[in-house]
Amino acid sequence: MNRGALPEMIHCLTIPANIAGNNGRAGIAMRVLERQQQSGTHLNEDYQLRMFSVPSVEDQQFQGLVESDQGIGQLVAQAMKPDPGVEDGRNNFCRAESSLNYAGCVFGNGSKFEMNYPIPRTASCPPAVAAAMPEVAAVANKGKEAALLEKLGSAAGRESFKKRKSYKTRDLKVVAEEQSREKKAKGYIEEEDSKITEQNSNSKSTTTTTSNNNNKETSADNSKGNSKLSEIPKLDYIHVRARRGQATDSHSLAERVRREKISERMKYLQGLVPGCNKITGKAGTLDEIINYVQSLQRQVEFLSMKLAAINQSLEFDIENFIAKEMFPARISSIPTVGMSSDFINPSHLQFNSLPQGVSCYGLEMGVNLPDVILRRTISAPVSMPEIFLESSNLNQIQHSSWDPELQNLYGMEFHQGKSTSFNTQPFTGFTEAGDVKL
Amino acid sequence: MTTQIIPSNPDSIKTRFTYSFVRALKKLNKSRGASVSPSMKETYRRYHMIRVASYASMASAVGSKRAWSRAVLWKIRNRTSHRALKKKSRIHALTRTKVRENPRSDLNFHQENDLRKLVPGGEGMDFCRLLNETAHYIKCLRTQATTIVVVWAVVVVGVIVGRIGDGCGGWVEMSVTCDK
Repeated sequence: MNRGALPEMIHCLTIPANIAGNNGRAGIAMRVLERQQQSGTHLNEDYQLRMFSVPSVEDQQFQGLVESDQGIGQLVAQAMKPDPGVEDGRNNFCRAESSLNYAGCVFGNGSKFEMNYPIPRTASCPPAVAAAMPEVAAVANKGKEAALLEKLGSAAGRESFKKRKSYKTRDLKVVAEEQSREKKAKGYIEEEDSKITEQNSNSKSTTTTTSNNNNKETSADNSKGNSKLSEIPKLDYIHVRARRGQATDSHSLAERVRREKISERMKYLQGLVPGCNKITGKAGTLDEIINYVQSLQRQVEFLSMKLAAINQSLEFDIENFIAKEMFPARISSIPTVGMSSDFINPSHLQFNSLPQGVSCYGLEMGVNLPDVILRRTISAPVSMPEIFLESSNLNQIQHSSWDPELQNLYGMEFHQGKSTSFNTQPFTGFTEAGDVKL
Repeated sequence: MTTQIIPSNPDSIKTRFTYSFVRALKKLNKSRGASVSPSMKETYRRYHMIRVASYASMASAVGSKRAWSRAVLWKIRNRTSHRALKKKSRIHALTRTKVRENPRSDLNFHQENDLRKLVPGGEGMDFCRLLNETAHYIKCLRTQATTIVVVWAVVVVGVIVGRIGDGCGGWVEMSVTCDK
């Protein structure tokens, strides 16, 4: 059950508003969860079982805590950090570097939350890695590229959670790839591992002391939390990037960043262009995008052509109607009736008193015959909300000095408008009308 | 029963576009005056004006923060003047330099160029930015089309047909398929 609830929360993470709405700590906590989940899915089966049987105990707590108290939620999250860290450490990856250190500092607090999983083992690891941490950081720092450093530094601010998250997820993918491959670990990783095992041997004796130490360190760590947390994705990111391909010079790194950006935007465009999701491949997608843009441009031209054709016969209408439609506040005498919240936006151009306008101008203008025909063709599929019809339209029809023919038309429209659905029919009506007119 | 219409989002691009487009239409009608000569030529001229007005109001609604809107505005502003020739040559120069500096002239190159031609101001951009601008441009074109449909419906039918999808709804999609 807890496992089931977990992806839900992770799914929430993709909504940036959620992250922005949360305090930073809660966001981080959830990120940790996400990381845990993702890395867990890529592990082999028994390992996954081993690791996940344990955090599932805390998940419930965690979910409750994030909502109730974000500070505690953070603590839990920090306490949960050993999992990905230890996983990676066991898989000979140096991603454990900072997170283990971090977790080690707080783990003593985590024990308050009845975390029954192998405390001795994990609790004893962090100090060792914490000792190894400066070296790791130093090595990673040497490997940094200047441009990338600048970039990540800009991303490291507390406000840029989104960015960091994207880096994070990307990292996770890369790490998963790397896990599938067999990579050799560097020297300091082995050192780390040896320290971990060594620590494991005498863990039972040191558990209490470490937890005490960690309690002391927690406050300091929390105060430094901001900078530390910004460090974590930075280190991961750079490290993974440097490891992934063989090319580590700044040009190829920049090129990779560029390609990732491009594919990201292509995905976004695919979501934007209808029917583009099925197409695979960049070329096909680009083709589809080009077609879509062209069709939209043609559509705009076609519509403006229609407008140009229509305006000739209905000159007065534009002058008066649209003035009233667009600036209804100025002309208070116009009854604009029944504005439900859906119709408030003036760009939607609410139903507004055509009957009145026609009663003023329609007779002098002489609504010519094609126009009436046009109305006939259009008025059938036009559906109007009943509020409008009942409250305004019918009243105005009765009171206005219309031709009986037009009145009939609108009556008909009323009856049909009630029955017809909006979504399918209006545009067919419009195209017909456009054909008639053009 | 007079209700004052308060725009739900007065600063949205759609609202701004509608305001300026309707204003432009009004101006067009006023400038034409009473002498209506329903010739083909006149209609074409009006069509051209309306199209330009719609593009211009869309671009001005977007503002100058987007490259494509800047390009559109610039194009329209310089449309009548004698600088058109100069501009053309400059664009050619831009494309030429772009071609030269881009060594990866492989599979996507022609499509990339097509897209560059379609998106206004896309001649000098790198591909990443071009995609960004394309996404925004697509959104704005959709909004534009929807709004013009609405204006047209108001002018012709005199009533509004209800709610129009805000660019992603079924309505615009439907109109696209119908136009195809």
